[in-house]
Amino acid sequence: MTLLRIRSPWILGFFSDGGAVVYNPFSGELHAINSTLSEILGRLSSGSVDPETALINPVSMDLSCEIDSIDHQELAEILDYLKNRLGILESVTN
Amino acid sequence: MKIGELGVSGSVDQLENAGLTLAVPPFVFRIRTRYRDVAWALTVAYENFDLADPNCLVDFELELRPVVGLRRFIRPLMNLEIDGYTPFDPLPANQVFPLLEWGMNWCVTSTAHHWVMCHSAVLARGDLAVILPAPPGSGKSTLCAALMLSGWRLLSDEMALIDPVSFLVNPFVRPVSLKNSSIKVISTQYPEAKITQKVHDTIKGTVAHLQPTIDSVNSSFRAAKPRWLIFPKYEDGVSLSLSPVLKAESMVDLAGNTFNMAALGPKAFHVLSNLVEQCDCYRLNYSDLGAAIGVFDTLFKNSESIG
Repeated sequence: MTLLRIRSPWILGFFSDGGAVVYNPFSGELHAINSTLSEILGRLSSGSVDPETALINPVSMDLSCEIDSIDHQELAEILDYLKNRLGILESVTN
Repeated sequence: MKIGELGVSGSVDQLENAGLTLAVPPFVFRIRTRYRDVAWALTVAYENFDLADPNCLVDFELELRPVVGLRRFIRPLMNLEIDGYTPFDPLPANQVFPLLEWGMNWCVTSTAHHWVMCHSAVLARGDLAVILPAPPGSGKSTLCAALMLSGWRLLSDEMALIDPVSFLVNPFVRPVSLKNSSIKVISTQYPEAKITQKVHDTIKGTVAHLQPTIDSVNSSFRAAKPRWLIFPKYEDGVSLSLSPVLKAESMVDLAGNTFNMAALGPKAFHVLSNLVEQCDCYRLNYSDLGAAIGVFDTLFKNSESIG
């Protein structure tokens, strides 16, 4: 099991068409996340995030996600994207 | 009383003395100036707008006055004073009406943070609104003018005022700012359109202002529900295309056109994400105005048939 922590104060918002955005209210940065990554994030965050209400109460602060069903190659790419491209990943722990 | 009923001479009298108190819901502006071009332009562009009670609470006090000194005689310049401040550099005196219009925009975008404000045109059919966010040069105002003159109700050519509680768009009906070739396009295709005198050599090129339709002015208090979010782009000779856009991508583009995203932070995020969620999002490329209007009419008809 891997725990993934989104860096505070990034906020995640999920849309009904499968896409998502991440937003930093301090810096104003806003990025779109493609539907594949959004789906994976949604899957990762199941239990922590209810996609139905994520727009009303955007996920914020210490989101921890359990990663248990993604192959290592895919996981490495996702983590690299979150950490180095978006800069929203606080930590990954096994 | 309407501005049109007051007429040019009546407008001049008010502008030169106590000030002309113009109701542009949801705001009231008091305008003072000795430039008579303003009276001429106001009676065209704001013909169907109400004068507010001069004793009412005025939101913004604006005064256009000449720059003193040698500039009174050589290439005269004028300043716009807003609530006692002069936020802009002086402009040539012949640009007095465009400066007034830009100043009125500035008044709202710099203070009305109880709304989320996006740089976009907004029009409606019934109570369903289409929001057209776009940067300058994308053909937004031309499309907006054509839609308004084809039966759509104008809420704004310049900004969407989105209520953070209801997510409805509030009207802020003003004249449509036409630039350069769009002035000829609109006046040719819609000869009944009432447009102010052209002002040349402004920072935006040649500018003129189109009077809003009476239906739009009379519906100045009627908010509308955002139903479509369309990013228009005029390109000469391009084929008409309407392409769905992912909501996440639309959200980023809309936020990029939001004046007070930084000021409102998470509140703006909350409002815009909900707005995007409730809208169908498209990118529209067009060169033919008539065909573009057909797209909007079809979207509206389809929404009616869905119920």
